[in-house]
Amino acid sequence: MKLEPHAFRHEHGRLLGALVRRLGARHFDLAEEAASEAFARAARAWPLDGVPERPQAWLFVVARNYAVDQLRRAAWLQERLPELVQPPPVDGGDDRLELTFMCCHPALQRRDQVALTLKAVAGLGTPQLAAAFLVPEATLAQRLVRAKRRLLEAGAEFELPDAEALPARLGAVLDVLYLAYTAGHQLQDGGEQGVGATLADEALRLGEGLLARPETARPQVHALLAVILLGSARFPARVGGGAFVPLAEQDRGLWDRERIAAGLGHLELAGRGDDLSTFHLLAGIEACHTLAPSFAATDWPRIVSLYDDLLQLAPSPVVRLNRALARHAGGEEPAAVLAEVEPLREALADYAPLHAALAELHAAVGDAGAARQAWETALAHAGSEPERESYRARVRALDPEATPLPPA
Amino acid sequence: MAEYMILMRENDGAWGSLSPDEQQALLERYFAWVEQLKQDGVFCGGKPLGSGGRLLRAVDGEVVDGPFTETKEVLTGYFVIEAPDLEAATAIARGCPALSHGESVELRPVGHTG
Repeated sequence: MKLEPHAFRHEHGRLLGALVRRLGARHFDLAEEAASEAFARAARAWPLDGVPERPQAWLFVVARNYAVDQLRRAAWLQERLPELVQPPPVDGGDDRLELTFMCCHPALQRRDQVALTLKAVAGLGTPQLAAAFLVPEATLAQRLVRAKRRLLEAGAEFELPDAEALPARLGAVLDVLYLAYTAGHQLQDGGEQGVGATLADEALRLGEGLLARPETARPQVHALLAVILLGSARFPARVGGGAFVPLAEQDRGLWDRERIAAGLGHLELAGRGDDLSTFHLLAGIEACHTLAPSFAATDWPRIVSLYDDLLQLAPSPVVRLNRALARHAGGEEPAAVLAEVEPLREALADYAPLHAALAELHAAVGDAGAARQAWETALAHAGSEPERESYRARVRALDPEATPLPPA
Repeated sequence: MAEYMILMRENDGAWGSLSPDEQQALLERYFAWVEQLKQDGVFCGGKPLGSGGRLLRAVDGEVVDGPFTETKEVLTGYFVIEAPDLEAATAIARGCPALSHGESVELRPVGHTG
């Protein structure tokens, strides 16, 4: 008997949701413990007894019994007993959405919403999350404990927000999924392809969960899924030979055609309705890239205009930088683009891609000295070995006679 | 041939720190191991043990009960295997997936007088 790969991880959110619904939001910890115990017992029992006919129900019953055991002495049990003795949820019943909204409660900081959602709903382990957010495991575990305490203090309820609160709360959930995806993106580029792809896929799966319910099946959810699918379609081409491969040099034959097709499908659905979210614009930019036959033949003016719209909706120095780079790629005077990027130095002082951009632009206006210096600054701020390797290669290309830079 | 019992002990709570992916990987190792024991014709049986239960002991002549989850190590299950001698049984027990995630395994002859 074989289980689907990651069946436990995918089941985790559903089981935890079913438990929190019955135990109440304030027993989130107990629900987590019970879910974990149920999987542990499955690992012991199923090899001997076989996989039960209804694994979901089996897991629920074991987890529920465990929770009841733990609560047996509490007076509280009297109050919840009628709900706990109800039959297991029918197959296909799904409380993950409520769980997601609870984990993305406004009482929590954004970073804790992301971590808690990935732990509770997506079933990722603390070590995986610590690796994803570049913090020690103990720190991450502490954050999760504090986040759950805050949920209790804030009286977070296990329910979908009402119609009035829903748009803002859904926005927070989408931001959380987008952050999970971008964290995956960075890991992917840093050579951690396994965890990187996992985060992107979990964000995708949770987004699909939002589409499965009429209350949350909004156009901006489709837009977010388009961003993730179109962006992650390029993952296989982004790292090669131990170095990060920039878009201009990627082998477009390595892009995942199935993901691109699915992403374009979501982009079309995102266009139905009057909503215009940042995800719509980001998805539009991604689509321009994936549809272009080559870097040179990319529709740069369209990309620049999408960045202009993005700046209206959500101005940020990173968006300004990317807009400038799109203008550069589209053949704009390098000196003019350089003048646009220079003022971003202060806001993005520690951001390696800014210095890489400055280096490209200095080289384009013929200032090899300034270019070399900027590459070295980029190298010093790079967060991963593949990124550093790609910057070293740039320096070598700039000045093949020069002494190689020492490994950072 | 003699029967040996493989008793698995878990540090209380060790499982809780595993992610669902890791728990599933463990399940798959148990599947493979049990399958192998069956193929080799040495598998006699086994059962998981739940953690709810009671410990009965005599205190001042009175039998009292209490949950035994107070202890740090919990018996989580057992297998019975068949092997010619303790050495051969040890070789089999070494493959027990419990050992791959920090549990300890105790190997005891069944019914031997020693």
